[in-house]
Amino acid sequence: MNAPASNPPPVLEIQGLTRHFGGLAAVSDLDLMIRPGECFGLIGPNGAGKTTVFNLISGVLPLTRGQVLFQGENVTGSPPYALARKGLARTFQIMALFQSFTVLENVLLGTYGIVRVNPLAALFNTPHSRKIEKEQKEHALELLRFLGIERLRDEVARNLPLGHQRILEMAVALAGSPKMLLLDEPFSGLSGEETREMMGRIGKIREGKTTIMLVEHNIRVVMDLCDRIAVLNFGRKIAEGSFEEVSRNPEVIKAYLGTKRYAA
Amino acid sequence: MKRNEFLILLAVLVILPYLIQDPYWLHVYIITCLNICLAVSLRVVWNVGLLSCGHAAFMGLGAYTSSLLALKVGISPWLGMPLGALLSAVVALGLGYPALRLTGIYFVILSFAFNEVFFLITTRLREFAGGPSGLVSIPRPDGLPPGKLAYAYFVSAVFLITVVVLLRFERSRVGRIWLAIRDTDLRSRCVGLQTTHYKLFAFAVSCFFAGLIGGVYAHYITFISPSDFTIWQSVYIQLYMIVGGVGSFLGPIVGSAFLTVLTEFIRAAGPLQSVVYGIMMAAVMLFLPGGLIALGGHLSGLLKKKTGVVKNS
Amino acid sequence: MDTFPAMQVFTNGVVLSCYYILVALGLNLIMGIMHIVNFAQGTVYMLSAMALYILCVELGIHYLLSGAISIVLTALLGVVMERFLFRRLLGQFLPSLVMSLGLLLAIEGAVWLRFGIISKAIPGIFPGTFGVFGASISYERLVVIIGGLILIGGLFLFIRHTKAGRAIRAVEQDREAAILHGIEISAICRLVFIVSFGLSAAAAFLVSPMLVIDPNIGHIPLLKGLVIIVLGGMGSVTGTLAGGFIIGFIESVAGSVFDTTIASIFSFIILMVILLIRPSGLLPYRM
Repeated sequence: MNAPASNPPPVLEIQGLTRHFGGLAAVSDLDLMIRPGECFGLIGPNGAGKTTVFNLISGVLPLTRGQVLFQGENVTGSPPYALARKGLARTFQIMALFQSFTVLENVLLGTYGIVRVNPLAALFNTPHSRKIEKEQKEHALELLRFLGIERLRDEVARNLPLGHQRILEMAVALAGSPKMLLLDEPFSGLSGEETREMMGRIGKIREGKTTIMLVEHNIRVVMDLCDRIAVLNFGRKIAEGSFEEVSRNPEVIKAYLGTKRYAA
Repeated sequence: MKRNEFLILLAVLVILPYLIQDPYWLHVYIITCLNICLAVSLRVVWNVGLLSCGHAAFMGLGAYTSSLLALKVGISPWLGMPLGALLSAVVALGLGYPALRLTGIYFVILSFAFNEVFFLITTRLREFAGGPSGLVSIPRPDGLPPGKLAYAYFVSAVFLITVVVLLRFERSRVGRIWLAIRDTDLRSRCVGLQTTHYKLFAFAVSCFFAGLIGGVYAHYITFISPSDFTIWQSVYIQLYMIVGGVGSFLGPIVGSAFLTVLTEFIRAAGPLQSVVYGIMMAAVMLFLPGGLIALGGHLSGLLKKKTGVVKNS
Repeated sequence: MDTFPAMQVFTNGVVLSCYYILVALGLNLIMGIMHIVNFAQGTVYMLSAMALYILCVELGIHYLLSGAISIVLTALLGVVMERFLFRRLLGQFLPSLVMSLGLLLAIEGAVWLRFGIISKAIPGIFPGTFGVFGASISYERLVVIIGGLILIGGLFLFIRHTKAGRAIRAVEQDREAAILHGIEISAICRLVFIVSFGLSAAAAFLVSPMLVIDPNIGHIPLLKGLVIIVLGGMGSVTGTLAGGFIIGFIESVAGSVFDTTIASIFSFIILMVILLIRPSGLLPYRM
């Protein structure tokens, strides 16, 4: 492993992230630091608050306490669109695709928020807006090729089978060339073959220096893909480190007790 | 593709009034064009995932503005009508801002309440706006030749502008973003789109045309009153929008034309009209969401099966 | 007018509040589990009043019995509407709204056809007035106040302290979690419609002797109901109560100082202001 002389600043830093809801603490006092280029895994039993953490980071849910710093900038409380424009993208576990649109259009829509065109210019179809449209379309096709789904370009999103929908989820998130990608259970529901393909795709994404934070249930995937892992239980971080370190942690073992999938 | 459609539309709009000639049916033609514009402009907001229950009030805003400017200040309707449209758009922005930041329900409620308040205020303003009896002797746009045929052509022109502009919006990048927001507001925000701004923009555009049509209507019919712009008129506009089919731009056009003509025949039945239209509204949502256009599709599909004839699509 | 009839205004305020709250609660309950506005809620109130008229005036049945029958019939209507109309469009926001608007149109038109537009009246069964603090209050109003408060209190207890009430709240907050806990969603929906329509029918029962009866009487409770649930916070019963009393009293005061039109405009301005500064309503926490 490289040990750079000067530590590069973290891409994402979370300090004391807390979310109360009703009388419950969905997330309590979470501290995390994600380094550039790494793949960081967030795991934990069901209901541990993993998706809530994503919702808090991406501005979808308001946080009760804490700070979020993205690339050194305090973005606590920023609305989702602002974070997307700064380079933080996410996928959704319960998929949020643009159902009425084709695969290509979905990816294009992913770019519309990042490279923007004046609505009146779009209305009058100015040469400038047409140029941008063309560039974005090429970029979208490029991305589809990169992910190996170019042949699906004209399929309508709501007709896609689950595996392809999950790939499209990632494509839409990647469309804006984000610096960091939050992946919310991208492997959920995938077959063995599809899982291996997805792992290959994530590997390719990592080659492009995109930092990834991954919420996943599939421990094998987390083991292979992630450099570091944090374990959540009842909204609290109970362990952090490499997979080996974490899997030996007695509290982690206790949290997962009874779960067959956990096999070190 | 668009050029052919435009030429056909233009041809129809030029030839049809001339063919009609009869004053009564010219009146029906004018009202049909206006209703279509109202339905099509309402659909702009539907495409962003919202239901405006106050469209008639924005029409009324344009109507009253243009009429009052002409009657009290002597401003020509040619200026008054666009001003009325502009005012409607501005009020839409002011009204939309608090509500569109929130979920769709708030917008529905607010537009509903706004329509009611518009009615109350116009009923109250006796000296200024004529109160319950409204405004009369609203002047015709100056320079327009007398007679229904001339006005029919004027309305044709307004219709053309409305349809061309709104179709352009729908097919542009903005239109696609609107539909994306309807599909999933959450995801749209997470890919960097300020959905509130887009919704506000859609609402303003929609109300601009409602206001414009209001002005055109006022100067045609020459008398308006608060009861022309009640919540029930708004509901009727919604009906016109959905009966033809909300899924395409053509739907409200077909639906409005069909219903406007139908109204001419069943108007005498009074409240029975409400019953029939109300049932239509509910029935379309329950059983035929694609509207009359979808019905056409079903029927031709049925025909294909029964006769084995392959129709060109 | 020599003295400001404070007692009169206060009483009116309570009466209006009870009347509005009963219908608003119905709107709120349906909104909570289906996330839609039932535009036909006011129409249900009107139908109930019409049923009362038919039973009491046309058929000569005693008012109390008529009330009981009308409430039962209205609740049954709720079951039918939920099962055959609203359930079909569950989860579809825009179509549900449009459908309820269609229902409003169709039902009002049908009533108009049958009864004409001329207002009717139901004779009250508690004639006479009594004096309180220099104002004379009719027994009719007292009945509304007492009956209204009992019903509102009853609903509050029902939602908070019964198993069924808790189930309703569970479905409102998290439908999927509720299913996992074994709650049968269709039964809850049915229950909500029964209660919601029943409350509107109760409002009609209490208030009809005081007001005219015509096809349009559903409009006002609908509009006021909408303002109230935004004011009080959607999904919050306590909020509806608070919002209802606020609107009822403001309208009573504005109505006596100015007139009812201005009072309505006041309510609307309140709605706008709330949306601007505190959209979650006065009481954001659930029930």
